Amino acid sequence: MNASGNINVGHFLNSREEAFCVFKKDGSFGYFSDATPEVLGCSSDDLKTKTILDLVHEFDVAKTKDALKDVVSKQEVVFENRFLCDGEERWISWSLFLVDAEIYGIGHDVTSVHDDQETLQIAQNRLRLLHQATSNPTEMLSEKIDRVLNLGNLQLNMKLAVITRIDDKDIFEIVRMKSNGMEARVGTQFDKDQSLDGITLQAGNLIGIHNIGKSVYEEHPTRLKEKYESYLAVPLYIEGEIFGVLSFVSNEPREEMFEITDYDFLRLMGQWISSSLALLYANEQIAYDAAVVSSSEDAIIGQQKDGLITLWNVGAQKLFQFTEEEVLGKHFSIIVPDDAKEEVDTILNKILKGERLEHYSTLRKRKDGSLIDVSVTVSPIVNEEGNIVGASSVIRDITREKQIDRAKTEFVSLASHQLRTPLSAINWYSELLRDGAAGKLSKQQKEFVDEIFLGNQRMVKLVNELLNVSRIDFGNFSIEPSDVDIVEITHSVVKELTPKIVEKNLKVEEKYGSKEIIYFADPNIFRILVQNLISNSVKYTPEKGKVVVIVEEKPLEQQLYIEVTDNGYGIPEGEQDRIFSKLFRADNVKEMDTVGTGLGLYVLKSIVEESGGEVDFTSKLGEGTTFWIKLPLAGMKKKEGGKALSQVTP
Amino acid sequence: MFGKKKRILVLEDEVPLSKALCIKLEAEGYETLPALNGEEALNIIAKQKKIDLAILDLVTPRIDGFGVLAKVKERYEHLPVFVVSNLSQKEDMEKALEMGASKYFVKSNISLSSIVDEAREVLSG
Repeated sequence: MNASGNINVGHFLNSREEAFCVFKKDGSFGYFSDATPEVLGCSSDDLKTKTILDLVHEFDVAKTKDALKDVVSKQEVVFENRFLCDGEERWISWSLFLVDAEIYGIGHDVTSVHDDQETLQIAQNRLRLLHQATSNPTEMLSEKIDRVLNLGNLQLNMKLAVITRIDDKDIFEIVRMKSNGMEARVGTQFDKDQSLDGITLQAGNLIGIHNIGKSVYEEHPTRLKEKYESYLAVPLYIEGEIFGVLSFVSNEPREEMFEITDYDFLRLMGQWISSSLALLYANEQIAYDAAVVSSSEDAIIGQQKDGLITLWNVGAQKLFQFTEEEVLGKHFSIIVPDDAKEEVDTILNKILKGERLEHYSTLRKRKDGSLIDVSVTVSPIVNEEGNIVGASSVIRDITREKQIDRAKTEFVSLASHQLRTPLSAINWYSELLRDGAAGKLSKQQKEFVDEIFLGNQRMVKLVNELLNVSRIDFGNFSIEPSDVDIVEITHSVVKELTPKIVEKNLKVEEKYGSKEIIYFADPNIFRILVQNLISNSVKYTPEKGKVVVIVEEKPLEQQLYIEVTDNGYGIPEGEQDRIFSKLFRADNVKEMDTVGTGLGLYVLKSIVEESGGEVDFTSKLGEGTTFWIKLPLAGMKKKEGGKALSQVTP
Repeated sequence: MFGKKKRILVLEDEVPLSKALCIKLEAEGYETLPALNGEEALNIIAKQKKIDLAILDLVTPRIDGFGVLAKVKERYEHLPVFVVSNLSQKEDMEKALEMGASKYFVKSNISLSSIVDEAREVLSG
């Protein structure tokens, strides 16, 4: 409004942001407001010299022409067209009015609205395509993944889609790919540092490089070697763990940067592929596990907490002759022999406590009732909540191992029996010679016969020890404890050694906790233990030395304590840790005593441990040695084995 | 020695061992009746009116020592029997003792003089 109160229309129109125009019938601009060139993106010159039909997008010429015509009859027309004056598309929304036979037009720039719509449309379209690619119920997951990769190539205008997997050594491997004209191969591996995927992984987010040659990655190996010129990628995570990278690549640089819609689409594809891969690999793992179980030669049996069989593999079928149909849902005692039924409860109780039963050697029953020697390992099956829901058993046929074991044992027994016969002959005939049964011997002859006799004694001892070692190594020696007076046993061992003790002029002191100690021990084994310790001390203590033997009950420690101390040669410090090894002999005694076998302490330790006790020693070179054995006060642990150990010393 | 010599049956299939044992026993004043197999041992037992001690090996031809032991115990319940064998397994020892053997010696582990000492003890009673 001016000072006179009249409205200055021109001034008013020029003050507005919209384009105000008056069009002539041919579409030329009779008038345009100041904002018009800016709104339409055209210069004033263009507007003065050209018609609207010259300035709009060729697609919109007809539409614009129609609007100019229609407004004459309809008084008012609203429509949109695009202007291209400055090379950029500009959407203008027009309202045309007919006023006094003149066409007035008001135009708004609605480009941004249009862009949004377009974006929305692209996104909608891609979503639809992604849905199409992934929703065919009859298609395999792997095929769907390939479809998505193809779709990505097309939609993003790229030439290669790659899924890589990274291992714990930072090596990428191509696990799937779809090419649209670029070379690549599934199984190809490359170092993290040599790959753009490494950068994606490091970023932990989407990465798009539309023109690698113009980026900081200009010199990157993938560009130099693989001719990558543009790259768009997203890291793939499965259950929160990095799996690898989904990338789209082209060997041509893009002129324009990737759009927001491209990133959105990529993110969506990445999510879908991640979850599909998780499923795919889980399925593969399940299939693989199932194949391992079903193809195992060992019988693998799954059972519920109540003992009903839920899984029965081919190995079980072969071993027990029952088919899967025959046993599923039945109690697993179907394969347990009648006299081992109490095992069933023991096993189930252990499992319910979450314990594992390992390499348990027992018997099982076939369908035809025949028995098989088996080794059983049973583990509890724990669900995700941590509850025990059943047990899995791996059962191995050990018939052959048992046969071999038996054969070995028989061989050893036979061999030792056969070896003993000639040894007995040497023993007895050298004895006869020594006694003068074939005439009086000269001093030297007697000396020689003594050597034969002693050599033979060594041989006898060795045979006895080897027999014991074989029984220990086969684990088939028995410990059969009963109440025995261990003072009596110990004293008799000392008595037996008297000739040697006297010969060396040793002082042997016996200290017993009481006159009589009744202890639950296998007398044979107890004898071997004390015999071993005392004879060692006697052997390895120089003349006029001292040996102290202690046997006592220690109720506080719940122990039966046996100690043998000498002031003998001692064991060199560097060799102390090998003292219980099979065939070990300390260097210092090897020189003095050539008779030892190096088996005694090995046998000793084995049987002490099998009896539930422990053995150890302290020793100082040149000062002496103390060995002690601690056995449970309640007695030796019983051990079924069938074979008793032999007394070593003849 | 007074009166008749005590008679000892010696079942041992290894000739040298049998010989050594008999030499020793005879040197100690006993009469020995050696048998090289189980059958022979049973024949001797059947023919002889009196035997004072039987020393039996276990692994012997035809009839083994256990078989002979069983027969001996059947016929002469109170005849003392020593087993002198190179079988050293507990089962064998227990079986022999259960069947009535009074002593069990592992051949390679025992001296002739020990056997004679044991025999003397049994026979003097």
